[in-house]
This record gives sequence, C-alpha cells and structure tokens, in this order.
Amino acid sequence: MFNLYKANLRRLTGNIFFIGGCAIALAVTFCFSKNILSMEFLGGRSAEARMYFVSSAMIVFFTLIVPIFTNMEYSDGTIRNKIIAGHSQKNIYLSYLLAYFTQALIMWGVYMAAGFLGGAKPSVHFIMTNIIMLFAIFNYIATMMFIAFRFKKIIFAAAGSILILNICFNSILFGNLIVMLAEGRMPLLVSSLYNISALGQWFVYTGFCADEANPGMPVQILISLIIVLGTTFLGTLKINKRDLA
Amino acid sequence: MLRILYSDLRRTLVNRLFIGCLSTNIAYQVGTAVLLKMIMWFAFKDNITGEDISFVYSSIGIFLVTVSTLIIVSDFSEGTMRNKLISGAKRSDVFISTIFTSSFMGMAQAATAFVTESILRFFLGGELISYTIPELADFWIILTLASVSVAVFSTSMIMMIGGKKIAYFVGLLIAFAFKIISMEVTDKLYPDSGNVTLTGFKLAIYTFYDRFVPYAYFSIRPHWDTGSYILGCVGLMAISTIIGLLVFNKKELQ
Repeated sequence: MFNLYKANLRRLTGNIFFIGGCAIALAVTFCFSKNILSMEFLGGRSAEARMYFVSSAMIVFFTLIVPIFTNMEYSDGTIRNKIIAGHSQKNIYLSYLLAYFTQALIMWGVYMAAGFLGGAKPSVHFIMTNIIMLFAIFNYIATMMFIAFRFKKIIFAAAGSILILNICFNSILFGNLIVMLAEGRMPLLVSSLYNISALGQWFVYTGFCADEANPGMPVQILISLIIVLGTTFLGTLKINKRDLA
Repeated sequence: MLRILYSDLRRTLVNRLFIGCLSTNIAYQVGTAVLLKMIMWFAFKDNITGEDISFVYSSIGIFLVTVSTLIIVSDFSEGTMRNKLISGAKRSDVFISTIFTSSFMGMAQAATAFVTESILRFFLGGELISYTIPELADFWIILTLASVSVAVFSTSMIMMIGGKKIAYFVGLLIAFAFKIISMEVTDKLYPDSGNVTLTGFKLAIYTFYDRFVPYAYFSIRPHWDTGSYILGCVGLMAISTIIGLLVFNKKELQ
C-alpha cells in the first residue's frame, strides 16, 4: 500500500499537468491578491477575499486530473500488473486517493504561499476558512475518485465527473433559493444541505452568500469527512471481487 | 465520402452512450415536469404553464449534446481514424462526415426534446401564457440550430485535439465556462431590478454574446429576432468547420 502510494505520488507530482497547474495557481493567486488582475465584483474587497475567491479553480483542476490519471490504470493496463504483484484493488484505490490528497495539499500550500506573497494578512479566521476549503477539496476529490475508479471507460468517467461539477455548481443556485424560501426555519438542516457540495462550502465564505447558509466550521469539516468516508466506503465496497476484463 | 458517412451514422445509432443520452433527455424532461406539476399543485394550488415544460431542455441541452459528441474521440483512441484514411477516404471527407454525424446528434437531441415536451404539454395540461404557438415553434427551430452548432463546435475541437485524453474534457469544460459566462451576461443585461449599468465597449461585447453566441441561447428565453439567432448558429458552425478542417488536414495522427 505504501509502495503504491509512493509510486503514484512520484507519477502524479512529477508530470507537467501538475507542475503547470501549480505554476498557474501561484501566478493567478499572486495576481489576484496583489490586485494586478481582478474582476468587477471583487472591486473594493480585501486581499484575503480576492485570494479566497480564486481557490475554486482548484476544484475545476481536480475535475480534470483525477479521472485522467486514474483511468490510465485501465487504459494502460497498469492495474493488472499491480494485481499480479500482489496488491488488492482496494489498496490501489486507497493509494490513489491518498496521492491525490497529497497533491491537493501541495497545491493548497502553493496557493497559500502565493496569497501571503501577494499581501494577504494572516488571521485566525482567514486560516480557518482556507482549511475548510482544503477539506472541501478533499471531499470533492473523494467523490471524483469514486467516479473515476468505478467507470472503466474514460468516456463515462469524463461525463460523470463534469456532471458532478455541474451539480455542485447548480447546488449553489438551488441552495440560495432554499435558504431564501426557508426564511430561517430549520437552520441546521438547510445550511448542512447547502454545504454538502464542495462549491457550496466555498461559496459560504466568498461574502456573496447569506449568513443562514453557514452552519459553522466544525459542521462543515464534519460534512466533508462524512463524504470522504462515505464515498470511499462505496468506492471500495466489494471492489476486490470486481471483474477487470 | 458517403460510405464513411453511412458507417458513422450507423455506429452512432447503435451506440450505447448516444442512446443513453437520448433516454436521459426524455427522463430528465418527464421527471422535471412531473415534479414541477406536483410542487405547483400541492404548494400553490396552481397549474404549471406551457413555458415551464417547454424550456426544461435548455438547462440540460448543451451538456447532453457535448457528451454525445464524445463518441467521436473513440475514433482516435481505437485507431479507426487511421483505418478510414487507409481505406482511401480523404482527410477532408472524414472530417466533413464527422461534422454531419455530430449535426445529426445535435438534431436528434433537440427533436427528441421537442417531441417529449409536446406530449408532456398535452398530458399535463400546461397552457402557454406569454408565448404563442408560432413563437414557440420559432424557439424550437433556434434551439435545434443551437444544439447542432454546439455539437459541431465540440466535434471540431475533438478533431483538432485528437487522441489525447484531454479531448474528453475540453468540450465539457468549455460548456461549463460558457454556462458561467451566460449567467454573468444575463445577470448584467437583464437585471431583476433597476436599469442596465453597462456602457460602451462592455455593453457591446455583452450584447454580442447574448445575440450571436449559441451557448447563450440556452440560458434565457428567446428575445432577439430569429435572423440574429440563425446568423449566430450558422456563424459558429462555419468558423469551427473551417478552422477544424485546416488544422485536421495538417494534423499528425498517432
């Protein structure tokens, strides 16, 4: 398992996609927090808020990376070699998941560093919101991993992963509608529903969102952990008995 | 050329992904319409309008059409593209045939959606409030053309990028980006309250996007003249066909 993880990590962090992605993350985050690049609706906001707004790009990045690299197991036939070497499919799944988590952690580190370079001031709230974002990305990666590993044809993995991205995005719109219709009733239920999707958790701290959508940081981290555990459980359920063709 | 077109069309018709997309199309429309009907009935004691049923397709159309065109990527990954060329077909013929096939895919999605919504409108009894039947027919012609042009654009991107894994994602990501842009443009051009605050160059860009880019036609009910819409669709199709043809003719096939 640890060997698989090391092998994956070397492959995933050494490739041009990831290095390029990190370079873009560095450049874009720096430009946004330094206010070299900006959008109209971000005008007059603090460096921290501008920087935080960009972090959603990491979610789009992992929509691409996770299905493409996971599917290479099937298209290149590596998974059978790994099984011949004595690893189980469950271990392969978990090693990929951990490797993507590490990748996300590295990218998040780059993003934070770029933000500080660009003039974001560290405060407890700022650090905490970004840690929530990191957990939201973990939650998203776990969902993507479930789709990418369960579908052996990349065409279904691609359609499924973009569908999840669309659902995450639409859930913000529906979430806002539900928050508006609920008018303060059942606050924990409504806000938890809002925070199931990674983009929902992101949107809560952008400053464009109603306060009712925020269930508090512990609940958000708890939701992310539940989703990570749930999708991993579903993803590895009876996976060792699966036919690989 | 006809031989290639025939085989492409035949493969599309029996393809599981394509049939799956058509079924999703029907299921999504039926599900949404029935759900809306129930919500309106139980919560507001009101009936749904014909427009509510008719415009369901626009929210999912781009996604379905783009996913169906992904079938074409397998031509590269399975090596069919080279076999086609070895069999004596010219590159431009192969390209044009693919474009026709994808147009068919877009048209089939829109036609299925149209038939479904007509049946639904008949059975669920939604009456049209703000549109007349000819206007609705206009809208469906535009939507069909827009579906076709989205399919052609996506296919052209696939043919230019070729066998790389990223080809599976490009069209879908572009569609997602356009979705966000459409929201921003619609929000700015047609604000819920107050006047439009855009001026000058920005207003021109936003208006152009709203009027001539087919990806925007799915996000809001039709409000420009049919001529502009047709020009936009035909324009996108022509541009993507020409650029795609130029690039594909020089492309290295692995």
